[in-house]
Amino acid sequence: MTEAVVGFLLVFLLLFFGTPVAFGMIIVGVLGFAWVVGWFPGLAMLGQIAYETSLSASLSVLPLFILMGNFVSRAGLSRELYDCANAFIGHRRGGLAMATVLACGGFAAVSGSSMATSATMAQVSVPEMRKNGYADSLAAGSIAAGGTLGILIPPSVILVLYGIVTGTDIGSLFIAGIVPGVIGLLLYLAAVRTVTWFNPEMGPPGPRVDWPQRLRALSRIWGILVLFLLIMGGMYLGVFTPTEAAGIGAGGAFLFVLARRAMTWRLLLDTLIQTARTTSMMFILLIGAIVFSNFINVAGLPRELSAWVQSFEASPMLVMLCILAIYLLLGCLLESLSMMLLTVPIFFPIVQSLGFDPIWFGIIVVVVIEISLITPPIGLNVFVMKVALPDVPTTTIFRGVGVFILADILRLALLLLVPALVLFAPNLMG
Amino acid sequence: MPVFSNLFLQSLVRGSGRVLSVFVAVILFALMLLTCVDVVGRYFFNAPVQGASELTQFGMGLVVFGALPLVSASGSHIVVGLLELLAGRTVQRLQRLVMTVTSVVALAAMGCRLALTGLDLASYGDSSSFLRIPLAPMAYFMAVMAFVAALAAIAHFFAGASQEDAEAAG
Repeated sequence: MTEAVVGFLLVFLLLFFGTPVAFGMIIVGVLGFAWVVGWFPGLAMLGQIAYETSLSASLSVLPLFILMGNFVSRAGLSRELYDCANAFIGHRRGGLAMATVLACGGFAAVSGSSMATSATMAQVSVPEMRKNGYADSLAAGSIAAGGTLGILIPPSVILVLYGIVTGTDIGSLFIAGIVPGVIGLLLYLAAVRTVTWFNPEMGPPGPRVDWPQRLRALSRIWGILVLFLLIMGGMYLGVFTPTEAAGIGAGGAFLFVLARRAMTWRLLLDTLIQTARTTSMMFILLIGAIVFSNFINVAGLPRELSAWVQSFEASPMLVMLCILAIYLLLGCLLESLSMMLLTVPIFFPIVQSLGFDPIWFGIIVVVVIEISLITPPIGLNVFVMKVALPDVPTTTIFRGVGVFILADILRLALLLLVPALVLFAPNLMG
Repeated sequence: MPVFSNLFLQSLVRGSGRVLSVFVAVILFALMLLTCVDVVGRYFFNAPVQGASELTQFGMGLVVFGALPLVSASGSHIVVGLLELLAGRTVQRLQRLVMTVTSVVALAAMGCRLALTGLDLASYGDSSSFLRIPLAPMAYFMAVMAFVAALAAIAHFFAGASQEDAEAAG
């Protein structure tokens, strides 16, 4: 156990001084394994894990979903998603901000990246909101928060990685993410409503749009809606495995871009290269995480930690709250993927021994990570907004985000108290 | 003379980067097509692609390790950006040095072990169970790419350093 604790401190030290997260985990993982078991097995493990992890057919789910997201985000869809949402609800009080939240949710769902969503939507919706006299805090807050919706709404890269490290079924995780994702979306809409209820001047209503125009706006994005329903429905009914759904999703998104006549050789090549690089980066991170978790497992940390936690005979919910507090704290330091890969191997055995459901815990972890993305002092999405809108002070963005954090905490409480919200959908799965 | 060799090196690096980029792009696209054709074939014509899962495996290995030098060359492995926000130029230099050294150590270790894995596989004459594709070359490919990625990390360090010098001079 001491070795594992030293290992953790060492990893954080390395990361703090600029070591890439993946390599920090690899170096400490191999050294630690060598310390506990011996040099030869330590190094052999590295080769074995690198070889086997990358040669996995079922893990092709990762690059294929990322490819789908990259096709969709390069197709210039952000503008149309926003226009469509705007056409339906823009005329309400705070409507443009609500449309932003909706478009962020939709865009993030397919693109799978919170930061990319916030960066893209900032270009599209901030000028609109400013033109209509929206307060900067509400505009920036709705985008920074809206971007976080996507990591839960499937297909979600982070849920795939959780599934891989914990051996939880990826399809079930996706299905389980839908209801909490939609709850998050609704609570964010309610948050905008509340803000503009008390301060109507922060989000005046936009112009009303008539039905023919609404339908025209909808007609530009129906293809992507159908694609989304197809892959989710296919997984839900058990027609597709997640890998097959990802392949269909990527192929469909490719056809979608072709049909819009937006495809050029340059765009195709750039999208593929970008996806390959992201894939490589994530796999190295995954290899690092597996190497490191092998080390802490042979060092006996998860087992001893479980025993230690149980020796307190605290209620499981109290332990869970402590774990969540640790996540919020770590969210100030680590980016979401690394945070999950580094911590789940330790917490997962504890959580399991306390009798929590692995699928439920996966969703909860992702929700907490989302919160950490927008919480002061270091919310990554807030810094993305800062880069996209240099003239808005960081404090203004954090002020705008506050009400969305409250919405998130409300959702977290709901999911903690009523696990069925997460679990009923996967339990119904065909 | 040093200027010439420097230029030659630069164009070599850039050229091989392009070749590798196109290579992983083609493999990834093929991977997507393969999965689609397999699914459509299975559900509509009751004829899945024979050995699709093995081809996917190899495709994954090629993409993951083929793109690794590209990631290292652009320094886009995930790092913790905390100190960067607070630190001055000296600390940032130190961070870049640590980043490069640890990347090279980890990548080189991985490369060595993958090469040994390849030797093992070659000595057993292992091949994939359905298509009978020999496994050792794949491990060698991964090993070579890990070493190239280590070199790319070094190149990235010096490229950044010379840029910094130019900024300081300008």
